[in-house]
Amino acid sequence: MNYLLEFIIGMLATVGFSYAFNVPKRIISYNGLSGALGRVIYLLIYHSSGNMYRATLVSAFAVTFLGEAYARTFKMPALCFTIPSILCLCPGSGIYYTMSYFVENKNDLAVSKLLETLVISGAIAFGIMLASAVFKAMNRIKAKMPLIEKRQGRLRK
Amino acid sequence: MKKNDQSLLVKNEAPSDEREVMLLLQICSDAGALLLRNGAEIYRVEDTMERIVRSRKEVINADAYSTFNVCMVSFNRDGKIYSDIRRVKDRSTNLYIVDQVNSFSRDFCNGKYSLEEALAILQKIGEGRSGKKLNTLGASLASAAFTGLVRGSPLEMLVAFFVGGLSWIIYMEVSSRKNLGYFLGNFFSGLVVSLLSLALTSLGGNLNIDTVIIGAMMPYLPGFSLTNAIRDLMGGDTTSGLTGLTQAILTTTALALGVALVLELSL
Repeated sequence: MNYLLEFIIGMLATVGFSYAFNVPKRIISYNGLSGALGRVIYLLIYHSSGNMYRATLVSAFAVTFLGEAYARTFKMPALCFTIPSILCLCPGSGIYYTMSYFVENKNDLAVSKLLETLVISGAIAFGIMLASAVFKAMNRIKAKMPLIEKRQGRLRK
Repeated sequence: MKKNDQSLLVKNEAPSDEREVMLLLQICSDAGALLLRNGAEIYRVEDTMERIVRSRKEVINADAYSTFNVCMVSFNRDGKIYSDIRRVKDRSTNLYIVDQVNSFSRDFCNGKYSLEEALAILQKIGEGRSGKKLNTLGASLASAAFTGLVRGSPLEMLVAFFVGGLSWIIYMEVSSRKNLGYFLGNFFSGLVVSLLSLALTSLGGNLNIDTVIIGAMMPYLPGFSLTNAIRDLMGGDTTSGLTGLTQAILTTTALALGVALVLELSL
């Protein structure tokens, strides 16, 4: 029940960001799906392992992977798919609490929040990197395929 | 990899006279500037520009180079060298235009349009849909939903919906009239967000201002430039990637400073 609610709210957030960034209308529903899935994956891993960073890394990877796969099928820039869904993972509360602890002069809390925020951003970045590296490698393999086929054809002749 | 791509490309008719070459140059740099202005990755800008030029016969030594806010192209035809530089000062985010230019360049390279048609189409794309109402609705929806994600109550979500929408309208109005630059602009938006949420939460009792502010400042966070910067870094455009990362950090700092100023004064 809780997951269903999170799924719906995550979807709403992604759809909202999609409208804010003028994403083409026909793909907004797909974006909503991947954003909501990312949120649910985050929660599942967070509840099972209790590790926020691992959860962020895996869900960023999953969201970017889905986005790149969509981009291949629809022949559109991967940007349109990944950006709105990644935004839902951004550590907005971390930034806010860092700032508010500094304002309240609670330096130790502020610094630990700051570190947490930085590590989460790093995890998001690494997740995106991994997923796009997988697709880059696939592209390279695909680009070599026709050449191999041609060579084999020549040999047969 | 580039050589393979070239051999797969359909080569179209060569530009016949000087005027057509100039048109080709203009189309190419228009497309590049449009992509850069609306938030495409650097490798896409360079790739699109190069493809557009190379799709015509008799054009050799075509090269495109782009960094964070400038794109340039140069090519050689018949011993004459043509080049063009476009400086893009305000980068924003409009993925609709990125998608349009992307499919335009695919069609253009397949020889669907003549040069004049192509220029007209590009101009039409550039004027394109602004969709301010939808943008505002999207920003407020995202604010409300994000307040929900950090465990805000339904009433707080409603407040965040209005704060997000109102601050987006004010920010857009001010930034369209005066060019504040990214640092001051984000400082200003943080100011507006925290002022509005302070005002609205002090009206009714028992509302948590933290969740409202977190939700409402979400549309201004540089998640977009962070993602883009990482993709640039991965694509080998280290200069633009590092610039983007630095700008993302500075933007976040500005936003947090704007919120902090109001909180400090209100405490």
